Amino acid sequence: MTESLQGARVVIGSIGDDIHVVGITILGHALRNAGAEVIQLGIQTPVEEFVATAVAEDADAVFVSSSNGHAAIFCDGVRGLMAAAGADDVLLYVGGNLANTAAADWSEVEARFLAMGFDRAYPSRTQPAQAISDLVADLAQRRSASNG
Amino acid sequence: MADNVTNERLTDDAFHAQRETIFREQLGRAPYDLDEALAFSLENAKRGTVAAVLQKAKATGVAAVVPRAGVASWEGQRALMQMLDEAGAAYLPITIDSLTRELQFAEAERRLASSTTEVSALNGYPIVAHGIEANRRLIQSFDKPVIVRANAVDLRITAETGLASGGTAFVSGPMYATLEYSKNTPLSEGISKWQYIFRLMGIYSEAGVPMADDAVGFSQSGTCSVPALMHVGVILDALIMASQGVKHIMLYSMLQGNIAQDVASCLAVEQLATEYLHKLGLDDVSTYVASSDWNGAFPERRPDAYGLIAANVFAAAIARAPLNYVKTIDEGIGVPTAESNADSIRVTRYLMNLIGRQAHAWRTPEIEFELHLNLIQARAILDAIIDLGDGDPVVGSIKGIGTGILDIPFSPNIHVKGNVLPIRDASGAVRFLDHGALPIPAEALEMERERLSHRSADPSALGYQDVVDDLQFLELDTFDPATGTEVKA
Ligand code: B12
Repeated sequence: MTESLQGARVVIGSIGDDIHVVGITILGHALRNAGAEVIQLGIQTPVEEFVATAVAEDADAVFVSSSNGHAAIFCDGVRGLMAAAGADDVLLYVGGNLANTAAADWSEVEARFLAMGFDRAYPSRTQPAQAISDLVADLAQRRSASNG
Repeated sequence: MADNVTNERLTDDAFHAQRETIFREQLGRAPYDLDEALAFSLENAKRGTVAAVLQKAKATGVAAVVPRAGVASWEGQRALMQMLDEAGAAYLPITIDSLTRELQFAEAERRLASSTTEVSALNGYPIVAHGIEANRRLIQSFDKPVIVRANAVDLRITAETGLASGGTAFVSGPMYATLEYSKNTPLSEGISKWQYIFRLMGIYSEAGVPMADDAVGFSQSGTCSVPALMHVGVILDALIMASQGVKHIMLYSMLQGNIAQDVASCLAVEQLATEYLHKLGLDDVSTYVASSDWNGAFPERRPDAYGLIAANVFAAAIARAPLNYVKTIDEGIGVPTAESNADSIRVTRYLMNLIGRQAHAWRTPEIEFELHLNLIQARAILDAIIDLGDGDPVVGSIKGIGTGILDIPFSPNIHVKGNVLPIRDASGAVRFLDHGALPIPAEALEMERERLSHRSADPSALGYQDVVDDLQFLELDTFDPATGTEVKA
């Protein structure tokens, strides 16, 4: 494996009232296999718990998953609470199934979640490898930015 | 309260005391007038009930085809149900949103206010926020009976509201709600909350409104699973329901794409229910096999989704299941459009009818193999659980979760051991990769090992990565029309 997340600390869970567990389980394993330290919060994780854990665990990234159609309800406040907790430098990714109808257009959905302050938003069926290579790139960029 | 839960029927005093408490705590009001609700419900039931639809389906051999569907607004829900009615749904669903299920009634009401007929901010119909009067108007505007669909650990207020509004069926039970839908709740707590709902259904039934309930068990985990293990959950849910007075029970059988195993699954769950209800002296209960389309990751492309639905319906029709809960061709994308919902009902009705007539020709030896395997596995687990509880399935289940003789794969619940892993064999039938501490008989393990040897010469070399790969088994057509190539090998 060429890409490595050695040393990276990632918090992951399904948000709000969401009970979908399969995606975060697989993603958690994949991140761990890529070398990351994974803090798995499981299903129905309150926004506050994501934030508190990110701070307490000194996380590099938080992976928020929402599949049940309520992403727009629960994801709105995450970036604000992170900033209030002094953790504005933590990368925020969101994925799962972010729309709430089969008729939704992905580019509009993506724009909405980026506007909420997520660094990246993913459509359903994103392969873990995609998220991992993005995270490797984002972390490398952060490192070179803080060095330079 | 939750510490010494047993399978005993709730006393009237205990039921009414609990009723006062939950209405005060969760809604800040006195309970609904139960006598008024029973009187309304009795009158409403004269127009038809879910139980009567199912009895007829079982007697005539013409399967009932039923979708799931819910949106926030009253008008939107009315339009959706009308479309499903016209497409041929045998009874009509009102699926409840997940904020209401999680007791966030005020937030659900706020999101309802921001929804329109066209745009739903919620993933279902907030039945408590709409209120009994509006719900009754909705339900009474249709000739067909209504099932109120939800799942969560504590649906006592939702059930009270749904039944008082004229619903004649409800969904789920403690096995599914606690072990597949909750992170922290101990099984004992889930069981005692669900016993309240079943007793409520019993009270309606005793007043002359035969309430029906879906026993889902471990049949909707979202991953493939060994049918016998799914049935263990179904039977436990059914026994707990029946003990509180529920008289009509739909037995879930999730279809997973291997026809012989799926047919056997439908046959086995009915046989097991009859056996174990009898064992507990609950013979006056009617059961209906609820074949349920594949519930894991669905193909994204509509033609592929049609293919999967057809394979599922084929199995359900051969088993002569009286009921099919349909998935839609939009399942792999998002909440279905009205047209997709209608098309999916139509294709299901069509195939049920066509294949159902030829069912006898397809009862193959392979089905007998799967049926035998299924029954010996399920009985071994159920007997061990009931023994552990000295004859009480509730006591046995609670203890069994601790020892691992009751265990399921991919549970989000922290109290579940989680040592069991399912794997597909070469023909897609689901076996145990690891059965943890489940008391599976040696004969069954040998039958499974032989089948797995067709996938891998050395079954013990199969591992977690194969399990993960299997999660996408039914998205199996990898041809990408955009590039004209196969995406993966
Ligand atoms: C299995 C399933 C269930 C099971 C879940 C069992 C469990 N405990 O997990 C059950 C039956 C219980 C269930 C329930 C519900 N479900 Co459901 N479910 C599915 C289904 C069929 C598959 C989901 C799945 O497991 N996929 C496989 C995994 C591997 O994929 P994944 O979750 O997408 O995750 C991958 C990627 O997306 C990515 N990923 C995920 N999260 C993140 C996060 C980040 C940051 C990144 C980078 C990547 C990433 O990583 C994974 C790796 O491959 C989908 C439809 C489908 N996709 O076919 C519907 C679906 C997600 N469910 C849906 C709904 C509405 C519900 C309910 C609300 C239904 C209801 N009203 O009753 C309830 C949920 C209630 C609640 N409180 O949340 C809708 C969501 C609609 C929407 N968003 O538009 C879907 C799309 C079905 C549909 N067509 O309507 N469901």
